[in-house]
Amino acid sequence: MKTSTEKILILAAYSIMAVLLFVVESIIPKPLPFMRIGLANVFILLILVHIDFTSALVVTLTKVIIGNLFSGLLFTPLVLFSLVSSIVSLAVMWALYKSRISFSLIGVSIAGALSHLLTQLVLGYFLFIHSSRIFALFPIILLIGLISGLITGILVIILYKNIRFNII
Amino acid sequence: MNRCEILSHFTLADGILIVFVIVAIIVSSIFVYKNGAESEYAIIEYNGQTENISLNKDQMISLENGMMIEVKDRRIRVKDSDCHQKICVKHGWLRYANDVIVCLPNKTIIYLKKKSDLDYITR
Repeated sequence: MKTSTEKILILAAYSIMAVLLFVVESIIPKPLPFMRIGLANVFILLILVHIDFTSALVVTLTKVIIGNLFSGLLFTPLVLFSLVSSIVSLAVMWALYKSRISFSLIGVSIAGALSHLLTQLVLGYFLFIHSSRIFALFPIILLIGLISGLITGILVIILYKNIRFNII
Repeated sequence: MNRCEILSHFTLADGILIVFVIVAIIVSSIFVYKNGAESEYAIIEYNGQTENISLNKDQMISLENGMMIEVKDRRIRVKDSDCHQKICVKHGWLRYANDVIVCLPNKTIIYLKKKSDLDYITR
């Protein structure tokens, strides 16, 4: 698809919604910092399905940079977690969506949430805490990934039915 | 859109993925949370060094990285820390073996061990 004004407008609108949800989720108090639904992923997955991988990557990078700017974590080492895990999760979702295995959008979203959280766990092990004690978080992380993936997947299916772009 | 319509989107691959994740949750939690015995020793790991601390004596320990650790009534907690979100302080008291507090900004982990895991304590 060629770059058109409409495509730029759609990417801008979806990026803003992803950033907004990202910031709101960081403000809500929670017992663990990664205990979040990841609602921004709804818009990234919609762009991935409706347009293509590059556009979804643009929305992801915007979410990471602007979102972390607003939540005060940009220019800290913690932004690495957000950046790397968002890109890995996007790549996993794209691979599953394009693969021959018949995952629905719910399965793709669960895989995305799980790969996002597991990348953060592995990064935490290699960059910050060089101790296998950190893997005590493993069951909690799998549970959070499953629940948040289910929620975002159902939202994506509902929105996918109701949103149509003219440009595609 | 009603509930049945959403359920009809599930495929076999989704089901296998969900079942696999649930089995992984159960198996890994059995490994992680199997012993809940009260503990006598805490281990603090920071800056690549490891410290053993007895829980039998009430004391306050201040680490070089600005964390205050409090030991009281055979429990341990982070009383104060100079990190940004203070997740380690909000975590509260540790009492049972294998409980963990992690403070990422200070690169510190505190966890409890069973008595039998240690040969001796040096001070």
